[in-house]
Amino acid sequence: MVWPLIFCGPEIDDVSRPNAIDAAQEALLSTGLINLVVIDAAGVILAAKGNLVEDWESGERVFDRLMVLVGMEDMIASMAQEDSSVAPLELPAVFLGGNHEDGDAGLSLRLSPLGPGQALVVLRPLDAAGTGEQRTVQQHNDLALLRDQLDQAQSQAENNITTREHLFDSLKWGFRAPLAVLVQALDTQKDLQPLAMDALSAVDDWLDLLALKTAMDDQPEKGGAVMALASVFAALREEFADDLSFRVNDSDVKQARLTGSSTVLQTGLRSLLRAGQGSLALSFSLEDGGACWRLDGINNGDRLTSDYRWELARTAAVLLGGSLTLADQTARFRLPLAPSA
Amino acid sequence: MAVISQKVCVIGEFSVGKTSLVRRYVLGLFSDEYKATLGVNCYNHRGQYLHPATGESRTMDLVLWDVEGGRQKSSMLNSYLIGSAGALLVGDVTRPDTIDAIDHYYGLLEAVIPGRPKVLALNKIDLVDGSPAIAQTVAMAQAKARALGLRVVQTSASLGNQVPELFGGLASDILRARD
Repeated sequence: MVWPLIFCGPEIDDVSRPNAIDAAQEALLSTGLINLVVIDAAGVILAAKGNLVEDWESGERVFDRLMVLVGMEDMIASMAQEDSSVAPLELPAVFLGGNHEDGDAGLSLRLSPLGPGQALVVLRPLDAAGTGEQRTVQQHNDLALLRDQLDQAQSQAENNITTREHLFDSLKWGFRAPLAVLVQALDTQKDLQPLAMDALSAVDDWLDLLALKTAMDDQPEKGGAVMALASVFAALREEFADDLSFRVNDSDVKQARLTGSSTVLQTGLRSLLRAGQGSLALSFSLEDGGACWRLDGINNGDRLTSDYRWELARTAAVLLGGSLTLADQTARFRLPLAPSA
Repeated sequence: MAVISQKVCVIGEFSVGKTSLVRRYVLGLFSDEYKATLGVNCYNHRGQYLHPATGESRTMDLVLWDVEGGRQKSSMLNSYLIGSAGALLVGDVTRPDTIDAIDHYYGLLEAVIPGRPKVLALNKIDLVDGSPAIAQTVAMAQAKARALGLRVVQTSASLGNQVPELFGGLASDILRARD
C-alpha cells in the first residue's frame, strides 16, 4: 500500500495541514480500520461511522449489534455520567458468533466515556498481528501440554521402577526368609543343609539377573557400552583361583570389543564356573567374529544342563546376544563382537 | 414476554475443552484438533430454560463468552468477567493441575461477580479409564466443589454427554438468581 504524504513534505503548508488530517481520518473510517459508535447511557446508538458499522442506525440498541456488550449495561450507564471516572474497557481480541478457527476476522473493542450522557465504542479489525498472537498462544499452550505429558511420563516411569524394586525386594525376602530358617533348622542334618544353601543361592542369583535384565531394558542406550573385559577376568580370577586354571591371552582380551553389560557377563560366567565340576580350565579366544570362553575338563556334563546355574549362565549369554553350548567335556560361552567403530 | 439476554463466561485452564463445550452446545460440533483460543469467542444461543422456582419455561439468549485459557492473563480475565450473570468453570479430569487451578478462577469470579451462579464442569469424562490417578482427580474435584459450594457436572464435549444439562442448569440458576 502506498501511503499519501499527508503529514510532511515541503509542498504542504500550515493551511493545508488540517485538511490533510481530516482526509486521513476519513480514510481510516472509510476503509474500516477504525469504526466509531457513540451511544447513550441506555446503550442506544446516537451515531456510527466507519466501514464496519455503516448500516448501524441511530436509535438501535447497541446490544443488538454487539452481543459482546450484553451485561455491560451498568458500566455503560456509569461511563455516560458527567465526569465519569470509569476506566475504559479494552477487549483486544473478540470473535463474534464464531471462532477464529472458522476463519472469522475478529476485532478489538474499546469502550470508554465520551462526555455527559455518552459513551464511545471503538472497533478495529484484527490484522496480521492478531494472527501472529494466536500462533504464539497456540505454541505456548502446545508446549505446556507436551511438558505436562513429559512430566507425567517421567513420574509414571519413576513409579514403575520403584514398584518393581519393591517387588524384587518382596520376592527376595519372601523366598529367602523361609529358606534361611530352613538352613538354620537343618543345622544337625548335614546332608540336607547344602541343598537348602543351594536353594538360597539360586534365589539370590536369579533375582540378581532379573534385576539386571530389567535395568538393561530400562536403559537400552547403555547396551552399546563397551565391556570392561579385563575387570571381569580379574574378578573371576580372584574368586576361582583355587578351583581352576586360567588360559587367557591378554592380547586377545585387549583386542576383543564387546558391548553390553559387564555385570551380566560376569554373572553368567561365574554361574557357569560354579556349576561345572572336574579339573577345570578356562580359556578365552577370538573366533568366527565372536569371543569365546571355553571351559574344559567338565566331568558332570550329564547333570550340568539340569543345574539352575547352567540355565542362569545360558540366560546371561542370550541376554547379551550370544549362546552357551556343551559338547563332550567342554562348555562354550560365545558372544558376538561389536562392529568396528 | 420479552426475551432476556444474559452473559455467561466460560473459564478455566487452557486445553480443558471450554471451546469444545460451547461449540458442542451451540453448534452441535466437535473437533479433536486443539486450537488455542485467542481473546474471547462470543456466541449467542437462544433456548428455553426452566425456572426452577416457578416451573415455567422462559426463552433466554445466553451470550456465551468462551475465554482464552491460562492464568497468565488474570488482569485481562477480570475485564472479561464484568457483567456476567453466571459462569462455568471447566477442568480436565485427566490433568489434576487444571483442577487445582479452579481455586484461582473461583477467586477471580468472586471478586468480580460475587454470589452469582457458578457451575464446575469436569470435562473429558469419556477419557476416564479406571486408572487410580484419574479416579483420584475426580474425587479431588468433587471435594473442591463441595468446599466452594459449586455444583459439579461431569461432561464430555466429545460425546456430548451432559452438555445440555450443564448449560441448561446454569441458565436455570441464573433465572432463579434474577428473581
